[in-house]
Amino acid sequence: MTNSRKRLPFLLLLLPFSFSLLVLFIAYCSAKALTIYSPNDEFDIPTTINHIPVTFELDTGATYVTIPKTLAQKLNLKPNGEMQTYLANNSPVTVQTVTIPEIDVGNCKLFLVQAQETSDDFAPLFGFSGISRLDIHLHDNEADLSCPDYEQ
Amino acid sequence: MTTRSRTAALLSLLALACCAETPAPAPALRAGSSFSATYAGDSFILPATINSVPETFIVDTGATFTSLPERDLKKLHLTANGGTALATIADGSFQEMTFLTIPELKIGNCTLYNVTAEASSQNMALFGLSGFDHLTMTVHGNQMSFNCDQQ
Repeated sequence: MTNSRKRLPFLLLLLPFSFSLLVLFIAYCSAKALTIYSPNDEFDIPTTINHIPVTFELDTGATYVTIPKTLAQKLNLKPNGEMQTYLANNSPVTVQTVTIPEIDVGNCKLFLVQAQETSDDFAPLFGFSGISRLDIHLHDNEADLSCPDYEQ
Repeated sequence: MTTRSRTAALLSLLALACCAETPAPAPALRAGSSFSATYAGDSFILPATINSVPETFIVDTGATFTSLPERDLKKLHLTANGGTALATIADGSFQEMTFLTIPELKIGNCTLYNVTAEASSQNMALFGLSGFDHLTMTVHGNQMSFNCDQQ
């Protein structure tokens, strides 16, 4: 009992330290949106748009987020213009532009993301218009996505 | 043990558990073993050298392999003498590609060895995921930087 009393001030000193660590951990967890892996030579990002799950491929080579036409209709996204873009093989293609009101990536909400509507032959790509709204740390076959301060 | 000390002990344990979940820090790096890609309006550009010849890459995590334009192979002193395979491009169509190995790819102060690549009919060289071994990429806004691990 006496020993316990002697230890008490020391343990009380530890309390603020432990609390600080807990706060730091909570901050870390809330800042980190999600971790994705690349088992098949691509990084797939699970998201939701209008409560519908959409999986994008992380693509730093794509200028915009792209959504295939049928999926865009399912997501109730309306085209608001058109533009010319180029495929990887340099062939030009005209695409519709859309603005996605909200993409949820883990606990991160990206509002008003510029995107391109493509033909259904294309996969959904998470291009630079979405990438620039996240912090990404990629190492080996793992990528951590988190929300920058200005997106929280 | 008092309630307070028990609480403190629990918090300490929790804090320790938290630390255990924190990702391990990146491996120690040599001075100057990092480089940045330049954002060029619609893509990230990486200046590199292969066999002392400059080559500019677009950073492309959507590409499984690093690729080089066929027309550049001669000036880079490379030959596409690997196997061939069919690759799917963004629009779902197929394109035949021939593999090659880049013995040394220098970017900034980092040297990547034996990078698997493909020769393509495209005009631009792509820095795809086959080049990402031993690299850590960080993207923040329109800034992209790389650290190279010790090899």
